[in-house]
Amino acid sequence: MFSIKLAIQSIKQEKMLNLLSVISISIGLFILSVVFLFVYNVEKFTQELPEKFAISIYLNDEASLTDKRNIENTLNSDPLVKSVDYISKEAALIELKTTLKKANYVFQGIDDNPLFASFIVWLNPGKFDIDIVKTFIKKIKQLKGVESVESNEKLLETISSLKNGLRVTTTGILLTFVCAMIFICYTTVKILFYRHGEEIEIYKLLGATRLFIRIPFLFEGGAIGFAGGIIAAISVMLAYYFFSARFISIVPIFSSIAIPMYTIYIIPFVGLFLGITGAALAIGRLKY
Amino acid sequence: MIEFNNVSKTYASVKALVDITFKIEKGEMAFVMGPSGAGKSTLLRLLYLSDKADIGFVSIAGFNIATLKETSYAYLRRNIGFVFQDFKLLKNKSVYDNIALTLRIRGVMEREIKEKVYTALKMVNLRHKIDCNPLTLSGGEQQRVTIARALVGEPTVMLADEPTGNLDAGNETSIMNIFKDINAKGTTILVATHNENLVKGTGKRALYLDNGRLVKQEIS
Repeated sequence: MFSIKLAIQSIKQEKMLNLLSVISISIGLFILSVVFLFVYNVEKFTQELPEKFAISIYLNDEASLTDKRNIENTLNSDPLVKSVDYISKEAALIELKTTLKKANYVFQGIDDNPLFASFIVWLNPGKFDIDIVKTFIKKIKQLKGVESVESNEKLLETISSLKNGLRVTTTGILLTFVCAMIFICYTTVKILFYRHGEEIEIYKLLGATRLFIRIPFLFEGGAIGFAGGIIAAISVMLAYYFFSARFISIVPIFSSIAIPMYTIYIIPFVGLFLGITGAALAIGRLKY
Repeated sequence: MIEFNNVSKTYASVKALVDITFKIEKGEMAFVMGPSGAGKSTLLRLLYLSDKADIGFVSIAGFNIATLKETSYAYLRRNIGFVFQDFKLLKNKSVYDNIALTLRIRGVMEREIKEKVYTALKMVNLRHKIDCNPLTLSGGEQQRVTIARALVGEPTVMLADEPTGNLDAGNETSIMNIFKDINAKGTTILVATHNENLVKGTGKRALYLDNGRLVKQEIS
């Protein structure tokens, strides 16, 4: 209890230094949260992709009924596949004719049905991975009776490489900011330690242990981080509401942007953790 | 209670203490005398563990300082009361809090602390200044607060480094009388001073240092 009292006294005593540290931490945590939320939303968006992504497997005219069943069974037994729709040659022609109703002259002079029967494969959201999809397509292409496989592989590849790039960049940004915030707390606590040098000298002479001298600084570091976290959490919420109010009506895609509430509650505790870590590093390196 | 055996200490090339040997018995009050730079403060620094002897054996309150681990310093210091020329009081705390600090560090309960602080302040005649800030007190009063802070921990040994160095003659006498009272209750006291008048006629032992050497010991 006395250690907490000492920490509170020190916070009051060194208002400006502590305030500056709290502001720096809150800015850092705000940026961290925004980066995290950006990545979270990108991940969420790409996880929803399979629902919009389908693979068309065209069958050649020589494909027998057994081949078709074999292909269908292979598709249905794959965990990647959510559902399979079969479109016969006839059904494909009817669909095309319906689509090209106004331009049906294109069918004049064509007696045979030039279209292929096909399977439309819908993928499972949970199993979505570009490499797995690629392997799957390769496997399907080798099946007897398959003429060709069409998928928007390039789009998938672009999204996948963007995702990977984003992950690396985000990890870099997160690590940089985490280190920066730990350093801020480290430096603040170190400055505070030296500024309390005379007091600490008196405590030592009166028989204070190393722990007794250090604990208030841990509390102080934690308090700085926690306060910075609270400010950052409030700022993230305010920024989200401001952003929603201003831009969602203009750009509707922004309406799918989500903030998981647990992130907001976690921010102060991330600050607390970073503050204590910085303080622990600072006092660990000090003599006595 | 305090023992120095062939102790030497050198700072850079300056010999601060040279082959010092003496013993102070339990309950004794003694003075370390000598001009500035004689080695008085160095001798006390070795006792309150701010420094270590280069050679020799130092013991205080039953602890052999040479073999003592740094983590145990705090526990030894709790057996020693310190009084300094510059008081070393916390300027942002009241007289009460300054004295209570000694006990708070030891984890004593607040109720017990209150009782002990009142008793210590009574002994130095400063009970009426309990809520004052040390900066509003005179030099003599500040020194009495320092003594109360040392006393409240019920030390077995009290070390005083030039305790009257910043005080006028009236306060000098008052502080020395307090030391005598404390000593009369059984606490061992070692006072370092350059002031001969403090020692004269006390009937206590004085150790004379000169250029880091113990040149004589006599009863004043």
